This record gives sequence, structure tokens and C-alpha cells, in this order.
Amino acid sequence: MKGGKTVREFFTSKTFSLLLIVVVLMALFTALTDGAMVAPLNIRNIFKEMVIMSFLGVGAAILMLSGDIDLSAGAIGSFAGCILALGLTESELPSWFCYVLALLTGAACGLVNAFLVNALHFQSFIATLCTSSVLGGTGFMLIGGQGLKVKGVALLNWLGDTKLLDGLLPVTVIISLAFIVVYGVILARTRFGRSIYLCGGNRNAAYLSGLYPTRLSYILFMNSGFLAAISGCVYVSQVKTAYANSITSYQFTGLTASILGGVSFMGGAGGMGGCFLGMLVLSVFYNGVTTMGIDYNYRTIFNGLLLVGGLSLDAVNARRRVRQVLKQSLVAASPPSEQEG
Amino acid sequence: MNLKSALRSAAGSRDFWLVLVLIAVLAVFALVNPLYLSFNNIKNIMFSVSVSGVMMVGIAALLISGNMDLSAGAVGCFATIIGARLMNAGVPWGVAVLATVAVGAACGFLNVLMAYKLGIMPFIGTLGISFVWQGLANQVTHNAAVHIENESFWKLGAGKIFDIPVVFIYVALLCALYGLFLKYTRFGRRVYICGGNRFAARLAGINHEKVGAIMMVNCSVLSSLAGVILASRMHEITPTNLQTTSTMSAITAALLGGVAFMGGVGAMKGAFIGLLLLNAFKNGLDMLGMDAYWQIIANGLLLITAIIVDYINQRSLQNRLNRKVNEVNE
Amino acid sequence: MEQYVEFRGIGKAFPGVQALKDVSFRMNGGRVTALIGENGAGKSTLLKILSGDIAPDEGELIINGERKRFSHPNEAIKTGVSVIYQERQLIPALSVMENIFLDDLPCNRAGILKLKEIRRQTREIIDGFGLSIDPAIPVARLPVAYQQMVEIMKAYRRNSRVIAFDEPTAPLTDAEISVLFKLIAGLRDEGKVVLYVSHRMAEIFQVTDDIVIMKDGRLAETRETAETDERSLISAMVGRDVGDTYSRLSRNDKLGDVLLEVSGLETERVHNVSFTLRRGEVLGFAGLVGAGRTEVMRALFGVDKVLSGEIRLEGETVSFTSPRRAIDAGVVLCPEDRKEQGLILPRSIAENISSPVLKKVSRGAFIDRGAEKRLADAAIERYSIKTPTVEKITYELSGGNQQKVILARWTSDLMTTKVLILDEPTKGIDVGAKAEVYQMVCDFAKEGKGVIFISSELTEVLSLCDRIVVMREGYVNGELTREEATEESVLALAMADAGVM
Repeated sequence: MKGGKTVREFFTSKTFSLLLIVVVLMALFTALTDGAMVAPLNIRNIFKEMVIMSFLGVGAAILMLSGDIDLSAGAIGSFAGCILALGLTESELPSWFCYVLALLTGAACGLVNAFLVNALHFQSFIATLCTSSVLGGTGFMLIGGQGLKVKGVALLNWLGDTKLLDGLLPVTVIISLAFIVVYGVILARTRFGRSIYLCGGNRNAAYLSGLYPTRLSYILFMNSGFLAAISGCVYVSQVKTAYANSITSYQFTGLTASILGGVSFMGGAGGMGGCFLGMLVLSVFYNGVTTMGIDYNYRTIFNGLLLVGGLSLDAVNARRRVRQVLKQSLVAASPPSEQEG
Repeated sequence: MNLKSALRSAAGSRDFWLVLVLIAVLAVFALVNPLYLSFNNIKNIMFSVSVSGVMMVGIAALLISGNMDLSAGAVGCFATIIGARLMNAGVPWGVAVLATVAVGAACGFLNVLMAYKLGIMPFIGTLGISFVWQGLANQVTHNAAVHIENESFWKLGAGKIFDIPVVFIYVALLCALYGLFLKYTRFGRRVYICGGNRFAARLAGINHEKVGAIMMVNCSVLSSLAGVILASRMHEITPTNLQTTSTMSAITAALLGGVAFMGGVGAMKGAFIGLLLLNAFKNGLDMLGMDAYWQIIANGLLLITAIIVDYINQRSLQNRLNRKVNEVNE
Repeated sequence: MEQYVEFRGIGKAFPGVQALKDVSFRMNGGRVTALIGENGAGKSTLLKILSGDIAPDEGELIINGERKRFSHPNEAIKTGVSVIYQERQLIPALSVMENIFLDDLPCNRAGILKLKEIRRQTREIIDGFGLSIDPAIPVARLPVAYQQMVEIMKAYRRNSRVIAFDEPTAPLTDAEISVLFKLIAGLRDEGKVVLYVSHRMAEIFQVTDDIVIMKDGRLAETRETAETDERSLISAMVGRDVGDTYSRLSRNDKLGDVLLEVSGLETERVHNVSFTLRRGEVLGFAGLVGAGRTEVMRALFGVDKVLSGEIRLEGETVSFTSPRRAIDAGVVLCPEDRKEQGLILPRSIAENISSPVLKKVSRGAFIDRGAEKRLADAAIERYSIKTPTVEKITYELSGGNQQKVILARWTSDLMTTKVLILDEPTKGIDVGAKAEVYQMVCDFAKEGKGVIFISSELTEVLSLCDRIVVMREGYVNGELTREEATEESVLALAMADAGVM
């Protein structure tokens, strides 16, 4: 993907601008917090934050590429976390099995979403908004508003607390990075990943080219639910408590990160690299904001502003695309910009 | 018109079935708990109808014009908090209410900019900006309720006419007003045309962006008025009161009442019945002692049902426009 | 003063094609003028200029002595021009009277509608047309024929002086058509200018007074309906120089055994379609727009549902449930609609070309970029696609190049095609590129494959194809060999009722 690009191209690429933003933000916050920003403990916090966002962001990015959106990811993840906690505290099932159950729950919720969108022809945003409220309510019903504490489960503690490399890298970070890399490779290099781009770019044309967009939609919604469930389980493992709405805020952060990272909201363009950088930018930003002691509410506000900002950039790009297509259509009266064959 | 043809035409009317379902719901809940139909409880239902009703009118009108606004609840919340703060600072309540409405209108303008100037799809754009209003609302109040001391403001939402809470009358009048406006004025028809067939609207020389913009601002203004009514009744405003969930409820009520998701279809009177139905249902669940959580679940399920029904309707409507039907229904 | 509409020297060009050139004729009020011509003759472009949808490059449109230049369809409507499109532009949930008036609903100063007045005026119009429709009924509840009449009433209420009909009778029954013709006669008798675009010969002789014949973007002739007949009309529509393009083609002489056999194919849109295709044969499918050719191929390709009938490929009965199955079996369809079904615009040329053969450019689960690039390079070489690199995103290409990318996808080196179906493959491509496409088709035939060539350009079909199947309104109306076929005979089959002529 990169081979052959000139140095100049790199400096004007989105990748570079995002990296630059990360560096600038780090510098800015370091100055504003008298160096607390770059303390090793804080760096670890940045990555810990990013872990929960990452699964949701990856799921969101992949689904957006294929032309859909999942606004219930946060609810699915929180719900899966509740299932995990319930399994660990109220049943005699082995811990690893509770995790599996939680993950399966996530996939099942994704299946319901896929059904609403494909079989019943719901638009994906409204379908997932509906399932999100149903799941949210169910979560509260199971757990109550106080949350459910999970104590003394070895597997949970191990996942949540273990740090490798002399206490530097939490296991969860390794898992999340692994997922990002694997999904990134799948997207960029495999047939399956390519089919995501093709179906997202033009669903009808993809079908006529021999792909199966509906099948893909089911897989990707279930994948989104699955990843959301991982996110929820990681949260419970880290915090040792399950809440009915634990990770709903991360969902929109993940979504915003993908869009800022260049994943087009209309589908068919963007990549995991951009998504990762977007998440890095947002993690650094939110961490900086928290380290400075700014209220949590500002985070929500920033999220909204960044989401709208990212969407406008995306819309400007999309409009440029449409204008070019219109220029070339048969109905245009102006000559084409390129020479005809 | 004799009885038979009257019944036949009623059976074809969606409103008729809605009223039947409403009566059924009332009957079922009353059987389970006779207190459900007590005057006190009916008053409760009327109260909940009044707040969500004002918002629903704005959302229903916007949906008919072919647009969408998911930030209505958050806008209402934020605008009302500003008004409440002003009142507590000594500003007369009339001015404070005007300020609330002004804030609402400004938020509506932002939605218009996003949709038409920036080209962001309304559903995600308004969803995104709702976080901003939400966050601001939480921040300004530090997540606590803002109590309002202004007693004359309280009077706005208190009071009864013939034992019916005055706020319910406000909402009923508002629904009627908008319903008449949409049905019997030229601008109202324009709203339907824009929502129903954009190309035809363009051909007819209607500026659909202007119509859409007006409806968007109108929706935000009505949402802030909803907040005003709530604040007047509860004597306070909490940042968690009006949120995206209330917006979803308003959308559900409109869809149940026959307003199409895609626009161009529906009437205010149907939406009003949908509103009554939704609130009667929620209240019933409350009476049964079910937790608030059940309500959230029920809302989600109801919305799914409403959308499925809407989809079926739209399909048959489109089919009729494009395919051949052999009988003439006169 | 009598109404009239005059086109003077109208010219209009699109990228790659001159749609209209020096078209001049006059349509008088009090007469119904038919506009006929093959596909691509320029009828719809002319109609778009009249309705204000597009503006001409040259020439003038004159209405009742005034030069008119519309920049928006609404201006045309205000001037008194109404076009009744094939797809009704009504608001389904609104009533008849609301649709008739649309934005011009009579109201008082406050904007409140004068309902009684509206109802009265609507009733007047409905009665004037001799119909009985309830003004308050939502138009979605009306049968299609009546919906069309609402469109006509809409035009009438606007006091339109010029009313144009674009293929109005397609969805109507015979009884409904008579009612429509009575309405049209009524409009004519009121002195309006009525334009009737259609390819149905029988109707033209029934309802029109004058006939304007277009050919290849130019005016061929004008005649009075009473003084001509079907045969000579068709002669006037065809007959042109074939030119050099085809003489240089190196064609395939050897025809093999039967490759594809379709019998009694029935779908929602086409009925009782049967034909055979032999190895090395180029089979043409001719017909007018709406004849059902694309629909037949979609059924073959696994897109539309086959209700009954049999398809045999190389002797074996096949039934494809999806395009993937068809592609794997060797049946390939290059669709007509470039934008909706052809290109995946946000992706690159290479990705578009490799999309049906992803498996073959992969090693296991991973895509072999090198193999993909080789495939794409070969394709752009073969079709002379102008691009610096195969990584270029297709939405940046010109229309002609985009069409070439789609063709390249379906004819790339890695496709194992037995039957290649091309639906209007040369649309929007200039002459030089067309020659490349024709040679490619011939080469394919030489390799023993079968080619089905759908085209609305008669010269193309006649020069390239060994046999021609002519379809009309969902049925196969006839089959001609290359020796038998002339432009006239093909067009006659495309337009005439089955059995007539």
C-alpha cells in the first residue's frame, strides 16, 4: 500500500497529519500539566483507555466501510459485561465459559441487528438505536442501577491486572493491539477485506460481480457485536464491576475516531491504519483533558464537536466525489477533464 | 352515508384502529388494576402527555417534511436550563421563557447549517450535536437539578379547567393548531409535498431547503417549550429529564400515529392518538409496579413494531403508485 | 393567435456523442404531433429541452413567437409547458385536488386554503374531462390510468398551452387508452399544442395529426398522419451509411454446436422467451427501450426470479440463484447502468477489474497484489484506458474510460467465460473505442465462446451479429439471420404488434 510513495506524498498524507496531531497534543498537554502527561503511569493509562475504545472503534470502522452503522455497540458491550458478571457471581459455571457466553451474547445481539436491517429493511441507524434501548433496559433490569461487583475470580483478575514486560504492558493492551493488527491485515490484504470495501462502495455492483452483500452484512453485524462484547468484558475485568451502561460513551468515541481517521461515513473508503491513529489522537486528547482535571462533561461535549467536525470533513470529500461523477455523466454539458480513449 | 359504508370507511382508517387499540390498552390495564382509570391516574397520564406532546408535535411536523432531528430532547433540556438559571438570577419569567425559546431556535439553526451547508446526514449530525447540548447541560448544572423559585412561573403549568390540567389543554390545542395548519394552509401543503416527492416539489418551484429549515427550527423551538412546561410543573429542571430517550419516545408516538419515517405521510390527529397510546401504555406499566427499565425496553420494542408497520404501509403505497390496480375505489 | 412551438436549429452534445444536430420543425396548436424515432434518435433529449431540464448548445426554442431559454423546469411550467413523464410525479398521500394544484392552491391572504373553491374548481375540471373521480381521494388509491389523468388535469389546470406525453400508454389497458385518447382529442380541440412521443404505430395512426421523424439526432422528415403508412414511416426512420467501422472487422466464420438454450422463460417482466446461442456466434438482441431484453438477461444471470421455463448450458439444465453462480458457470453479464450497477466508484481501477475473480488473484485468503496488477495492466492495455496507474480511483475517470473499465472487468484474462452477455456496451464511447469493442466481440466468438449483444443501435446489431432476436414489450417478436435482416425489418418487428406486418 505504501510502496513507491514519495517523501512529499507522505508529508501531505492523512497519516502524517494525524501523527503530527498526536505529537502536538502530547507536547501541549505535557506543558499544561507540568509533565504529568508523560509519566509512565499516565502513558499506561492512555493505552488502557484506548483498549476499551479500540474494540468498539474497530467494529465501527469495519461496519462503516461496508455501508452500515451500529449504534447499539455500547449497549451490546455493556450487556455482555453484565452477562459475564452474572455468570461469574451467580452461577457455578467455570470462568472461561462465562467469557465465552458473554462473547456469544454479543454475536447474538449482532445477529438481531443484521436481521432487522437485512430481512426487515430497517435503516441501520434506527434499527441499532432500537436494539440499544431494548438492551439498555434489559441490562438495568438484570443488574440494577448500582452495578454488580465481581470479586475473587482468578481469570478476571488476571486479564484485568496482569502486566507483562516488567509491569509496563497490560495484557489487555496486547490483546487490543493484536486485534487491531489482525483486522487491519484482513481489511487490507485479504479477499474478505476486499469484499467489505467493494460491498460498501456499491452494493448492487458488488452483487453483480459475484459477491454476497447480505451475507457480509450479517457477518459484520455479528462481528461488531462480538467485538463490543470483548470491550465490555475487558471493562469488567479492569474495573471488577459491571454496569448496565458501562461502555456506551466509548461507542461514540470509537465512531468519532474512525471518522477522523478517514473512514468514510458513506462507506467504501478508509482503513485500519487511519482508524488506529484516530483512536490514538482521541485517547491522548481525552487523557490530557482528564489529567488537567477538566470535568468529565467536557469530554461529552468534545466528542459531539469532534463527531460533527469529522462528519463535515467527510461530507466535503463525498461532495467532491459526487461532483466529479456528475461531471462525467452523460447529462453533463461540459467536457470531461481527462482525454477520452 | 349509511351505517355500512360508514363502518367500511372507518375500517380503512388508521386512526380508527389506533383508537381501538387505545381503548383495548386502557381496558386491559384497568382490569388488572382498577385504580388505573381513577381520575388521579388519568391526570398523571395527561401530565406525561403534555410534556412529550409538545416535543412530538415538532418532531412529527419535521418528519412529515422529510427530515429528522435526534437532538430535540437535548436541545429542550439545555435551553430550559438556561431559562431556569436566568429566572433564579432574578430575570422575570416571561423574559426567561423567551430566552429559552431563542436558545432553542439557535440550536435549530445549527441543525440547518449542518444538514444543508455542511451536507451532513441529519440523523448522525443531530445525534452528534446532541452530545454537545447534553454535556453542556450536565456541566452547567453540575449534574444536579436546578430548582426554580419563581412562583408566578409555577402558575404557568398549574391550574385546571373543569378539572382537566391546563397543560393538557395546551398540548391538545397545539396539536389541533398544527394539524389544522398542515392541512388547511398553503405552507402546510408545501410541507407534505417536500416530504412526499422532492422532484415534484422542485418542479412546482418549491424551495425544499427553506421548508426543511423552517421545520427544523420549529422542532427545536417546540422542544424548548416542552422543557418550559416540564420545568413549570416540576418546579425544577434536571439534566437527565429530557434526553435522547425522550426524543425517541416522541418519534415512536409519531410513527405509531401514522407519520411515515420517510416523510410526506401522516396527520397530527393520528400522531396525537399515538401519543395517548404510548403514554397510556407507559403509565400502565408503571401502575403494574414494573421498573423504569421495563419502560425503556417497551419503548424500544414499540418503536420496532411501529417501524415495521410503517414499512409495510409505505411499500403498499409505493406499489400502488407504480403498478396497475384494477378496481376503482370511489 | 394560434399557438405554436418551434424548434430552430437545435443542437446538443454530450461527452462522446452528438445527441441533436440542427433540428428544426414546428408544432401547431390544435393538432397532435407525434415524435418518433429509434432509441438514440434524440427524442428524449428534445423533450428535456422543451421541459426545461437541460439547455441546448445551439439553436432556439420559440413558443408563440417568443424565444424561450429555460434554466429550470419550473420556468417551463410557468410558461405553459407541461410534460407528462412516464413515471408519475405525484405525491401519493395527498388527494387528487391537492396534486392538481400543488403549490398553487387558492388561499386567502393569511395562507388558509379556500377548500370550497378548490373542490369546486377540481370538480369542474374532472367533469370537463368526462370523468368521475372523488377529488378528495388520495392519489395512491387510484389505478394507474387515473393517476395519469390526474397528471393531465394538473397540466390543464395550469392552463398549459403545450402538453407533451412521453410513452403514456405503456401501463394502460385498452379501455383506459380510449379514455386517454378522448382526453387528448379534447386538448387538441381547445387549440393546445400536443406532442405525443411513442413507438406504438397503431396509436400514432389513431390519435395524431402530424408526424415528426427523427434519426440519429437529426430531423429526417415531417409528414401528415393521414398521408402515410407504417411501412414508409419505418423506412424513413432507418437507412444510413454503415461506414468503415465494420468493414475492417475480422469476424468469426465457424459456428459450433448449441451452447445455450432458453425455452419458455417466464419472469415478472418477460413472457415465453425462447432462443438458442451457438458456440462462436454473436447473437444480437434488438428492440426498443422497455422491450424486456435486459430483463431476460437478468433472469439468465441469476438476478431476477425465473417463474417458469428452462435454461440449458452445454446440454445441462441450469438455474442460477445468484450472479456468483452464473459467473462460476461461465455466464457473464456486463450491465447497462454504469453508475448504479457497474462501477464501484470509490475503489480503484484494479479493484474494480478484479472484483469477480478475487479468488483467482489470491493465494489462499490473501490477495496477490502482483497478480492483480498484471491483470489490470493487461486490461488497460487492451482497451487503451487512459490512466497513469491502475490504482486510480474510478470516480476520477471520464465517462468513456469508466465504461471501458466495466468492460475490462467482464472480459479480463482471468474470467472463464462461456457466454458473454453485453448490455449496450458501446453507450457513451466514441467511435475509435467502439471499434475496439467490436473487435473484442469478434475475437471472443473466434475462441468458441458465445456472445449475446444487446444494443439499440441498429447498425451495430446488423453489422456485428450473426442472428438477431427482436423483442417487443416482454415477448420475442421475431428472429432474423444476418442475411435476412435489414434495418427496416428489425425496426418493424420492434414496433409492430406481434403478427402484424
